[in-house]
Amino acid sequence: MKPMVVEVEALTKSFHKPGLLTVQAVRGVSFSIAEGEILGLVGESGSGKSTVGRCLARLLRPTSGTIRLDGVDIGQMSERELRPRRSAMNMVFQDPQSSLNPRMTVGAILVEPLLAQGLVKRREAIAAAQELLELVRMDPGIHVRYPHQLSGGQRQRIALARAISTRPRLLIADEPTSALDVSVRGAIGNLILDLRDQFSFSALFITHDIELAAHLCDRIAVIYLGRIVEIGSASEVVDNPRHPYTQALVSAVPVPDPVEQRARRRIVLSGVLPSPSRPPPACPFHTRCPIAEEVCRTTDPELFARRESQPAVACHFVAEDGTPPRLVPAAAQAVSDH
Amino acid sequence: MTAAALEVEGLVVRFRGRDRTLQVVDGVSLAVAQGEIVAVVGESGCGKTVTAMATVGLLPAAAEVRATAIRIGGRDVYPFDRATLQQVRGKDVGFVFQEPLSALNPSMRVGHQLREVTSRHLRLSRREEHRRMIEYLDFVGIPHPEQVARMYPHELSGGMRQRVLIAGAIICDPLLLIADEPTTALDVTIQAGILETLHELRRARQLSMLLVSHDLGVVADMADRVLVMYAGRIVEAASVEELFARPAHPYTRALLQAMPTRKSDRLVEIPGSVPSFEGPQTTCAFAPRCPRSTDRCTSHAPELGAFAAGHRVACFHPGPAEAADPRKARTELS
Amino acid sequence: MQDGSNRFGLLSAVGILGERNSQMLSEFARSTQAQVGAILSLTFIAIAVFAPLLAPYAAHVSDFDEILQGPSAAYPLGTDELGRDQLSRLILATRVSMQAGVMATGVAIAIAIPLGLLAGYLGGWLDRAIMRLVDVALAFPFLVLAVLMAAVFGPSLWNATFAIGLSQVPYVVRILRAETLSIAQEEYVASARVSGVPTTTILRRHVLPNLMNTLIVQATIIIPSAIIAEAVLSFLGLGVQPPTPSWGVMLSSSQGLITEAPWLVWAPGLAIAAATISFNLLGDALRDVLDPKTVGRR
Repeated sequence: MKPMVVEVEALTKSFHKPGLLTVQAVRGVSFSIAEGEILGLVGESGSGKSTVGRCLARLLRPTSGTIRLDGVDIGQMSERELRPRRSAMNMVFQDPQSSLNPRMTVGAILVEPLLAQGLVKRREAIAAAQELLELVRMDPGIHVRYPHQLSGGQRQRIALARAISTRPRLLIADEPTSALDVSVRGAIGNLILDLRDQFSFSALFITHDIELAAHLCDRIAVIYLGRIVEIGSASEVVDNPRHPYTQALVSAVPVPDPVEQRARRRIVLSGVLPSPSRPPPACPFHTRCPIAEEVCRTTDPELFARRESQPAVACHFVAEDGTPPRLVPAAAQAVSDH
Repeated sequence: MTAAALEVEGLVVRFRGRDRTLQVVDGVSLAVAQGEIVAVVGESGCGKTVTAMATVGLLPAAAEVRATAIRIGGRDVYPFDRATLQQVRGKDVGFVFQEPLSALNPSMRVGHQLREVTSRHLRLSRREEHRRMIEYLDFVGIPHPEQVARMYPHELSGGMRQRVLIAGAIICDPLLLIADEPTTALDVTIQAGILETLHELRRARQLSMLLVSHDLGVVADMADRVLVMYAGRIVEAASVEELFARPAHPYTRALLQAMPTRKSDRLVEIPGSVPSFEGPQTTCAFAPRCPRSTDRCTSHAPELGAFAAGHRVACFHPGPAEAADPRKARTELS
Repeated sequence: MQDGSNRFGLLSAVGILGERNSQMLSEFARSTQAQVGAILSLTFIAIAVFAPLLAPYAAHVSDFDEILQGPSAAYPLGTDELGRDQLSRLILATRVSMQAGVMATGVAIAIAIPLGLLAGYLGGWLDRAIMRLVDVALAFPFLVLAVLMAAVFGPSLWNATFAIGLSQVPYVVRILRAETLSIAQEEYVASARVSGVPTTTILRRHVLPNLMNTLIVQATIIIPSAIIAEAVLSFLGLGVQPPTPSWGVMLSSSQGLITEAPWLVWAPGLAIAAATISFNLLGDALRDVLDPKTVGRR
């Protein structure tokens, strides 16, 4: 088996604000990413997915748990210890408006990591910038421009080029396409795939869009209230979701086909997302789960795969052979009367 | 014969800046029949929100709005005059905006805000107002409406806030609901609930709706008819089944193919970006990005014309036959 | 984006200025506001610099036969209660006021930048400590500070200027801290951290340049306040000592004479107003130019 590039174990992150309740954003998350593999981390607001990304990038220090990058635990390292390792990981963010310093030229933005890590000399900077631009299929002459002169899609390409400039082992992408128009998302998604093919980095792709994750990712982890509830191969998780939350998530995404969409039975969740400062005991999802029972309130469901080829699921009602529990859709009638 | 809920003819909207003018909507005509849901689809900058806001004069003063006619429930509201508009808004037309937090007054309790709407348009006693408010909050699926009515917007979740907005929009039983990206800011599981509620609304009250959205999935779920907008113009209009089954305009085809589904392999990209115009268009706005464009497209502007029964397209080369493969990856031009 | 002609393009073509800087100059030169602001401000500064050469009479020269005369050929702006030429005094006063204005601002900003940056970016105990200091400083009356300085170091323009600058520090620190906090949330700062850019470099390259707008606005607000503050101090004898004139001194000492010799009030009053406006205009124009987003758009 290939050695894992990234191994995260029992990652926990809490935020303490004096006078207010502690927010437990991430509660014991574990996963690994092999070389060249893209793991999708799918969740909605309050799931803690961005916090996981920031912990991995060490923008935040985890409260506990380990983060191994090529075998070395970077979880509790000081900034000084981390600095030389920073070339091995980088991150792409969501908002193209604020991901690039408006007062720097594209060229300066592109080479900053390389210069910071001492991988290029100042006089080689322009050439390096142009090379990076070509890598992301942009005109090398753009290096003199400023971010505001570029479109959102172009800015995300620059952000990507910058992130892979030091040939990192791990790329963390936090919703890199969410703020872009639909017609532009494909370009960025494809670019990530192509760069991965070229450089074999591992990637954590954070998104709320499970369909997009199904496209780009090799494996998918579904996260809810700071815990992973299901993790496995992308096609398995999306085509045959086992955890009730995954099922609800998949059923909630409308299919762009009116005939098919209106024939579907949608699962509508009851209740509201509990506050991350007061997560429910045992199974985090039981307050909204259509099939929750007493055991869900008292016993933590373990995350494990019933059969080897299947995704690991944290639910008491997944059968021993891995058959998912059937959820009765809330809407008794079809989505519309057409 | 009942009048259409909304009729717009020849809408043109221009924004005057310091040096230049932008023609954001270039001659849009549309109609929403009673009990019908019409979706206006397009990406950012296509003019769909401006069109929706323009129908009830909600655009800022810097916007120049001209139309041949704008009628709500058969009644002319254009040329705009303050008195008519204030009567119409909230009573005949309800609005649901994208961002519920900024549409609600943070310092006023939710119930109070709803009562404000009714007290302006309906002659009701305090008790009736209260009852109606609870009834509508309950109808949009808010649990414990009595308690929620006493809460402030920030105490509610995003989904609840959006339901409150919907309640406020329909509380005077309007003819027409205009919803501008009503679920875009919400999580997909919450969105599912809101869409269910909107379906309920239509079933129970035959509500007509103008739905503005960039999300083709939501459109497939909700709409009867779809209008595709690009750079300020309607480029395709058809029933929802017809549009998704037989998209005729190259932009519509590209949009549909850009959505990730299990069937396709790589994500489809549309290179280039949306142009902006200072005046009426004289060429096809989509031509620079279109795989089928010819000289005709760069010298004339196509008008909306019949393509099939109940299906109109503004294109010189509409239809399924592909001249070039839109899936071919292209170099991003600067 | 190359919009319109770059009149200073030649300078960059021959390598005297970088392309972007010559573009900025060209942009700047094109706005009426910038032109007026720049010309006026530079005029004031030039007058300040060349004052002794421009003034027909020295500051202390008085002719007791010509007390409180209206404007005339010999004395274009009239004379004051000691028979001194107002025009000369006005010109010489420009130097004092400019010095006070510009230098006090410089002092304020120089001290406030490191405090505001560190408080906003690093947070924690340092932030709390700095903000406590700020609270204390705000509670301290400006005049008391000025009196203390005069008492300890002796009254002079420099000491007055320093006191004025110091009194502005708390306000500027607060504003810079708030701005820094907001910049620190921007994704490009996070991106720099992830890429291993050291903190000092982040502050220098990412935070500080994006504070420019705020700094310029602050400067254009402080300069006129400083001019007025200097007038107050000099009036109280804590700033410039007679016979050195300043506009503020001229203004305050002419108060009682407004019916007899109104020209003694108008001239310095108009000078203060004109200086204030010109620096504000200049500040607006500079801010537009320095922001890359407004290049090419007017």
